[in-house]
Amino acid sequence: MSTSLFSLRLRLSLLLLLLAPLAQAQPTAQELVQGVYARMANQAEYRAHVDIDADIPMLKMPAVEADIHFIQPDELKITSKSLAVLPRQGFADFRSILSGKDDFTAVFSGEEEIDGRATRLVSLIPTSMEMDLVLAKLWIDPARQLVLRAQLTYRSSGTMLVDFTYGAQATYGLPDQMVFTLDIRQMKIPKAMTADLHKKKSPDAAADADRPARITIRLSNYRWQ
Amino acid sequence: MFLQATYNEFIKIAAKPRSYLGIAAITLLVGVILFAMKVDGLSYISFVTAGLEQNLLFEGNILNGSFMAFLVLQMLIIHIPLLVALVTGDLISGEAAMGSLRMLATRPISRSQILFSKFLAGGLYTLLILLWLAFMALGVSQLLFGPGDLMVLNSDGLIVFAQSDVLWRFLSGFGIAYLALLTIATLSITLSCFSDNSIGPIVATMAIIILFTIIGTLNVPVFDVIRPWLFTTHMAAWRSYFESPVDYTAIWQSAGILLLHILLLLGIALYRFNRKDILS
Repeated sequence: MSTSLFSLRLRLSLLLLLLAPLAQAQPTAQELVQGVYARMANQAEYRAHVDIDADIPMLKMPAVEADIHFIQPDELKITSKSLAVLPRQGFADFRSILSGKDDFTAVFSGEEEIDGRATRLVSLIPTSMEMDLVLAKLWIDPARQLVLRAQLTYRSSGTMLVDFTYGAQATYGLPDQMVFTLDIRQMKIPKAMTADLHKKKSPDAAADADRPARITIRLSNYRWQ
Repeated sequence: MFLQATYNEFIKIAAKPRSYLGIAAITLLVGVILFAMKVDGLSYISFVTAGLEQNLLFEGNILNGSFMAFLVLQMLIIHIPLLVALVTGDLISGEAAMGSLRMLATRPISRSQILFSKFLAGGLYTLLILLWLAFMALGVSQLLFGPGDLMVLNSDGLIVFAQSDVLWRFLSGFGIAYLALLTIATLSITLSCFSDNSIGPIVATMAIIILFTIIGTLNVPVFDVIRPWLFTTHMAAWRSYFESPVDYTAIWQSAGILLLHILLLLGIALYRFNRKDILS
């Protein structure tokens, strides 16, 4: 009897010994974010071809092709023959949000599944009240160390949702596609500036004005510096 | 004989100093607009895009030649009728005032042919005015501001057209704008048949344009029935080419109504001129 009890205790002790390093391997929220950033930071400067498809209320425009040149942490140069529209925030500055470990407190806020992948939801709360970014929620795939979704709330421009899709450049944390969903402040159209005195705003356009904007950016042909 | 008469009429127009007022005015006005926009155009654009720019970043040159051409057209197409009427309103009444109409009527050419030759010469002058405007708006703007995509503001919001998709819209727009200006020219020629002095038809043409424009823009149900039939309602039909998608039904409707006005006014002018008691 005592022999079997000893044996059980021994087995339990061995099991705990085996599990102890695993428990230590669970990263903190801050470490998880830093892991994601470290993957991206390998490429401090890159160029890529982008296709921008903007579906914005009260703004009709054709799909645009452009070339981007990104320099860490948040410098973005865009070259295009056409007029291009990009989200003012959340694109160029995304990497700098992840890099600012002293600027934010990272906390786990839950677990969710996105497109069949388990993610950990990390909330980044700014340590300073002066920052424009009020809250960033990141859905991180811990296995691949990639951000699959981000919800960014800015003091100046409101909340936007960014969905990331990864392909060949996932190793470097660089997405193949980013879809931005954001609310746009309604545009006031001075009648005198349209010189369209006989035309009234169509009911379809009035209804269209209330929906969120959606900007899809497809990135391809990455080139490293 | 008819072609010779038309040629003579055009020479008469070309010989009048007032005929160059239109070209000079267009040159000056476009020059002022282009200068102002070159100096302070971005603030004009930000007045429209400020709401969007809180969330969005516009990359590329919005203030380009295409945008300037559209802006110039939008600003000036309302004022061009005055420049056209200044010349076409004088075609018959001016000659009546000078006393040369009686001599003209003695030539071996019918009164209808005289009227048509004046109408054709007036139409040609209107075309030249519009071509000059097109040159200033499209050519000079492109030269000063460079090419680019066109951003247009209409009552439903902003539309961006690719650079390659712009020229045909301008050319088609000029086509329908010409029809609108030809209506004005015909109106002033018709009024010219009723008068023996130059100023009357010119002022009357402008008064009619102002009256119809006010009726067209007054949002009162009592005018709903007549509004679609006023030629002034269709003078901005050129803008329909800068919609997405293009409302061809509205364009054809506008073209039809403008043509109807031209034919009706020409009919009235013919009736009046053939029965006019030419005393001087």
